[in-house]
Amino acid sequence: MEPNVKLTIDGYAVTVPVGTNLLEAAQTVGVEIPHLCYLKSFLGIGACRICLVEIAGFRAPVTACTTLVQADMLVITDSARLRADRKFVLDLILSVHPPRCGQCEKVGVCQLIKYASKYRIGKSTFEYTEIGQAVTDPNPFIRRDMRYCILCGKCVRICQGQGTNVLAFLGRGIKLGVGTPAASSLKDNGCTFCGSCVEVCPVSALAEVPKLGKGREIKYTKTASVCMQCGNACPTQVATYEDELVKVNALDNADQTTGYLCAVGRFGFYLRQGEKRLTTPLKKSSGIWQETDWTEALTIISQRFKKGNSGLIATGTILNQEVLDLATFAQATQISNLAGTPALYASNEALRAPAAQLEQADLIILVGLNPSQQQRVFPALDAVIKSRVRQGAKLVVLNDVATGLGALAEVEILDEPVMLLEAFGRCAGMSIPQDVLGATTQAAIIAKAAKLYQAAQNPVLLCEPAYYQACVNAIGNKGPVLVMPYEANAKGVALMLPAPEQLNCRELLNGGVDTLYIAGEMLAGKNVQTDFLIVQQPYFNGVALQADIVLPAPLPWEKTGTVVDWQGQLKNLQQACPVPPGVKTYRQVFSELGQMLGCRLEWTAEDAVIAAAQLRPEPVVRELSTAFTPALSLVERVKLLKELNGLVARSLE
Amino acid sequence: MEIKSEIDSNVLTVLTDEQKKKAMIIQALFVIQKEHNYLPAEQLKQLSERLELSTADIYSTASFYKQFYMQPRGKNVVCVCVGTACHVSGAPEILETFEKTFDLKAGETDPDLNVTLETVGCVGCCGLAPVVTVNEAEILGEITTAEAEKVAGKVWPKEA
Repeated sequence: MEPNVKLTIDGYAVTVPVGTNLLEAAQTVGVEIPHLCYLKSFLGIGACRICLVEIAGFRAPVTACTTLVQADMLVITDSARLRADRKFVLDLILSVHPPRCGQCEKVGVCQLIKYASKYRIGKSTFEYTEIGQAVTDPNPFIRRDMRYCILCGKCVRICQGQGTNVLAFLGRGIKLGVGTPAASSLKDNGCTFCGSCVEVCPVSALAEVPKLGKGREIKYTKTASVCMQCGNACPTQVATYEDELVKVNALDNADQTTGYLCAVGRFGFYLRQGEKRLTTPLKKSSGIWQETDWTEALTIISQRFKKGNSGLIATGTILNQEVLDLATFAQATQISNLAGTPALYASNEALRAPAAQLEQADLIILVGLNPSQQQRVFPALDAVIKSRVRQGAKLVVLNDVATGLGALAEVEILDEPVMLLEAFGRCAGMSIPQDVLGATTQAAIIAKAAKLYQAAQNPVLLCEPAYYQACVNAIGNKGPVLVMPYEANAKGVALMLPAPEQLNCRELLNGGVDTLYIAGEMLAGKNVQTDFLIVQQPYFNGVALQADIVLPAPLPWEKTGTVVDWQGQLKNLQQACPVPPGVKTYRQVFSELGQMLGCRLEWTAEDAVIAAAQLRPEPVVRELSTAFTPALSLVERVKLLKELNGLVARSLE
Repeated sequence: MEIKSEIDSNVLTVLTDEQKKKAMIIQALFVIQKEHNYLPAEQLKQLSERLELSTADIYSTASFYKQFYMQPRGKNVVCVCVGTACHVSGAPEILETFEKTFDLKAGETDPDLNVTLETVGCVGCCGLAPVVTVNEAEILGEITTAEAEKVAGKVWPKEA
């Protein structure tokens, strides 16, 4: 741990680690120093000049974001002089910012208005000079109007920090502006359209295209949710306007900082509007799809269930409570075949492993995973790891192919991961002689990785599910092993489902039962062999096309519940939009089916989720040969993630 | 005196590969500009690939310095100083004379690449104001509008 420094800010005694800047130090005691350009976890640049503070013994005010704490410093963050200084700085900024707040949709989240009203400045006392211009770069995601830009540089820094590096400061002096090389399009510069730049923009220079013309942000209702599109399960904030979803951004971003969402998470709701949303049940009769009503659809299903030899599958895209409801339904109706799709790619043990947080890791060992924003494979994981490395964490990569993150790694070893882990495990428990570390043989490089592991306080092994057992074997119980699943609630499904199952998921999909019901969007591409298939999901696509009956289901922002994310943490979703007419929740469906089958269903209480989520057995070292073999190959698994990639790519054409 | 054999670890934090590559940009830009007389987009793209830096990094550096040009330049470059001393000594009129004679605005180059007309903040010889430089080699001090017209005719002789 860094040694601490004691100082006084506005009369409060503050104790913070060496190297903390005054802005962050003040936040620890609830003193909010105004700022426009400061970006948490990045070095302060002192560009906006709003965060000026007075320090006893200093001749003039200094910027809090660039000044580091010193012992016994006496800091004043608010005084008549500072208010006058800040007001003048705002006056200058406003002189080059369009005086059109009346038409601006950013009102409600605009940082400039916030400070302008706080320091009581309406219009600049200088004549307004237009600098920058609206950028012509048609795309369905990001609108750039640089007339509004106040040159805080947050977008440039976040883009560089994430390693996407599309935006830059161009020019100098009055001609300085944020843009792309030679005014080319974002797309041509390899932009992934994650929208982090929009997220951090304090004004209206960058805006999400989907929300344009949908009113001012001050009128939006904001609700916490979770993106269910991949195993990253990113926490989101869903904004609705008159019950319509208009914007999704990263959650918990009061300071507009670290949260990352990829294009699919941020704009997916908008992209998928083009797909066919199911609002009425469909049935296939002699190969032709027909709309039907709920009574008929559920009657057919209950008759199938009455015949027996049925199975139920929970996908990793439904919430914990929905999994429990499915289990309740299975128990009441005595349908003994109940399985989860996460079992297709991960062992139950791997999914139920104890929780751990990457945010606190000082060493990340990445095994068999190749997260990439550009390839849209776990883009948030790519961004999180880059952010951790920027903040000083070390990275070790073990993989059989070169990875995008390899360049940032302290050690990257390319070979068969199971073999590497065995060698790593042997080294990790030994004292490694210094002379070995200088050598360049593979054994020496593995020893170097083991040395880093020995020195680390909070090492985290993060692996592709197939390597879970090999990771546990390599390190025993020293440091958590986290698997990265392919579905958002994979770990939740594993924790909620009662073990043991009669037939496993693969057997159910391969014709083990005559009637099969799948709750949620199944990993596409899997050919289901069953006599009669029922699928309940929001859109008419993927496995639904192979079904005999398709039932509509609510979207993530239309329901309340929890998921267990890739780090094993429970995350909440709150309903933001009403369930559309014609759509029934899973519980409604189970309830009605239960009645038709003459069963009484007693739903498990909410705290059952929390109880189930806490059942985390400690990892056990065991023979690799008895370990898990995934039903889907790695290529198949990664391909599933990339399918959404197509959605983003198509929308750019 | 004891000499430390290990370099200070704080120095290592700025001696990263990334920093070294960024430090290389300006040198590379000079070489490219010497070859092509400006910075062709294709060359900058290749430079970014070779240095494994984003094109954003390259353009950010290139656009900061007035010495780097993104557009082709004329065979001759006439540069009118518009610094404070030159301004009060009549630089605006001198510039106007060149603009009229060349039929170009400041910062422009004629389509046949005969001449580029530019302005500069200060050349550093305010005693000679107003000052005009030709090809950064010839420095013409205390220039009058009549002399400016002559210089223009010499630099870019137009057939009658």
